[in-house]
Amino acid sequence: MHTNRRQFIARSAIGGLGLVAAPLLPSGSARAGALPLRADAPPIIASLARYYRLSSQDGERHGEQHEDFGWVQIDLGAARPIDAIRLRPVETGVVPGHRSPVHFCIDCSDDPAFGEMQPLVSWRAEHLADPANRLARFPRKAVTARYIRLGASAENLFGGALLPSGLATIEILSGGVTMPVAVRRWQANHRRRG
Amino acid sequence: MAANNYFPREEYEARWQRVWDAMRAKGYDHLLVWSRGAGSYDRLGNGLWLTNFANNGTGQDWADDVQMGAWTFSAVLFRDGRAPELHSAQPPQETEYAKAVCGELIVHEPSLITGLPEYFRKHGIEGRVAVVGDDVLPGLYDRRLRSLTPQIEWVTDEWFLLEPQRVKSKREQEAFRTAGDITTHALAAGMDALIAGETSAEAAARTAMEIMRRGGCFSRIDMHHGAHAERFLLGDMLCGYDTSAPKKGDMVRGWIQGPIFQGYWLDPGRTAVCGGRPTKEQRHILEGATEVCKAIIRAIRPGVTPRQLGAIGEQAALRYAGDGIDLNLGIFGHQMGTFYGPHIIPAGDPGALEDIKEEQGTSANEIMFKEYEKIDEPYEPGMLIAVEAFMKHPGVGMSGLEDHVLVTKDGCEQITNTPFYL
Repeated sequence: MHTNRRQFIARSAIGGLGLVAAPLLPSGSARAGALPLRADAPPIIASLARYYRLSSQDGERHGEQHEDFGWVQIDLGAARPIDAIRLRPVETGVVPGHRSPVHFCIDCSDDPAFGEMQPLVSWRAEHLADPANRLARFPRKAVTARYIRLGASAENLFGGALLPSGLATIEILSGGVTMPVAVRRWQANHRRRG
Repeated sequence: MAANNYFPREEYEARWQRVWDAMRAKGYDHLLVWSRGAGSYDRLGNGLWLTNFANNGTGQDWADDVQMGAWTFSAVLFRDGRAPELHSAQPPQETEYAKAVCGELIVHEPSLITGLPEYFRKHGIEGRVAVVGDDVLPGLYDRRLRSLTPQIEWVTDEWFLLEPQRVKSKREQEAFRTAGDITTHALAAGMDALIAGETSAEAAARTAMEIMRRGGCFSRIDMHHGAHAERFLLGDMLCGYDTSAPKKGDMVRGWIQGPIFQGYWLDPGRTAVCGGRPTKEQRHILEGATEVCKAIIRAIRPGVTPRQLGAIGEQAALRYAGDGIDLNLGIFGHQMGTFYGPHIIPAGDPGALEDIKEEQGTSANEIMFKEYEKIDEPYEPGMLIAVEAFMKHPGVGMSGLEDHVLVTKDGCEQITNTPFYL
């Protein structure tokens, strides 16, 4: 289905499900680069990764004072226009015990190592009671990139709905086509034994 | 944390101080030390020595596309004079972190290899980072790590930790004494079995039992006899032992290798004759190897150099070698720590260091110059030295012997004391 940026953002706000990284470009703008996406293209699979601190006193997770950072890196397969990004959490609403602040960063790059990258958004929520009303606004700037990295950190994010660990899908509006990205969460490393 | 650890936290803090001093001396702001755990002991000892962390994985997982990779690896990061950070890929429900001694403790999921680059980026770590463990981290992971860290210049310095580890603390010396006591009993049990004509497997089992019942650990036990023991230094290539038994009059040899106690490595060995009645020829090479080791051990004291010990050992050996009897292997010993120390006692005076350096890479008999680079550096109290000698008489057998000593303020203390079987 062809979607313009206005429709893309509007559905997000009305649906109350996500955070939208937009507008990045005027609606429907065309740019040189990779072939445009097909509307029926299969979803991209991206994997969640994270690091977190444990207490150096007892090796346990105490939550509040320990750094915890998760990220999802998306490979679009080729450099493509990025018009807007929408995040769909696993579930909506307030997550009990979810503390502020939460810090989102979305960067893009043509380098998988993100040696040179372009920040799209750095957004800090004071609280997450109603993420649907917290549409981040970004400078109007033309962006074309192959890789997108969404990172989020919080003081207490375990299972938080708007953090990468709570993401169900990420949708990217590129050249009028919405590209879904399925976020795969590893069932932790303990599967690997023996 | 660390309440029940063998070493108190102050021990680790003193080690960190030595590492920072060494980093300053080499101009390093950052140092990353890789370790692999469990079934493979390679460099587990470095992470253990720095943080008391022992990874419980097999160390032999299939390498994959880094999504699940590096499961049994850990890394210790030194930066900015802070207490070192321990980075691991195992979630806390899978491993015991409570014994680790470190500054920060960071878990990366699903992979250390993709996690560390993100961590470095977030924490502004860039430029030169010295790394120990290039010989531990598989190429697949290393290439991936390097590709994800373009801001970092990785500086390989594999031997970096040898200097901070060179002189053992009083508590480390105690650990080595315990390790020595364990192997003294264990090797004697194995040798007694071989002398009594029991199978190599039975001798190895008796050795293992003595190690394990005393709370020790090993990597390999070699028990063998007869023609095989004349041709090869160690036992069955796969296991170290088999179910064959020596015949009366066969030369038999036993060797233990491993992180015997608290990760500290020893590798003592003995040779004897099945039945306990060596021939004149057998006794000659048994005595030869023993006398070489004894002469060297008698001479070890602070201030003596490996070169001087090499010359003393050669002098003793010349009374037994010749007439078809070879003194083999080229070294009379090496340093020890949580693994073999590479700096050797040469078998004889090897000549000028410059000449050794020139020889490197020019002869078919390759020389690793770095093994020799400390041969003129005097020993100090607290160093742990392995002393070894081998003597081979074709058709008679090969005798081999290895013991370990701690350098004391006025001599040395032998910590492995399995009897000589002359």
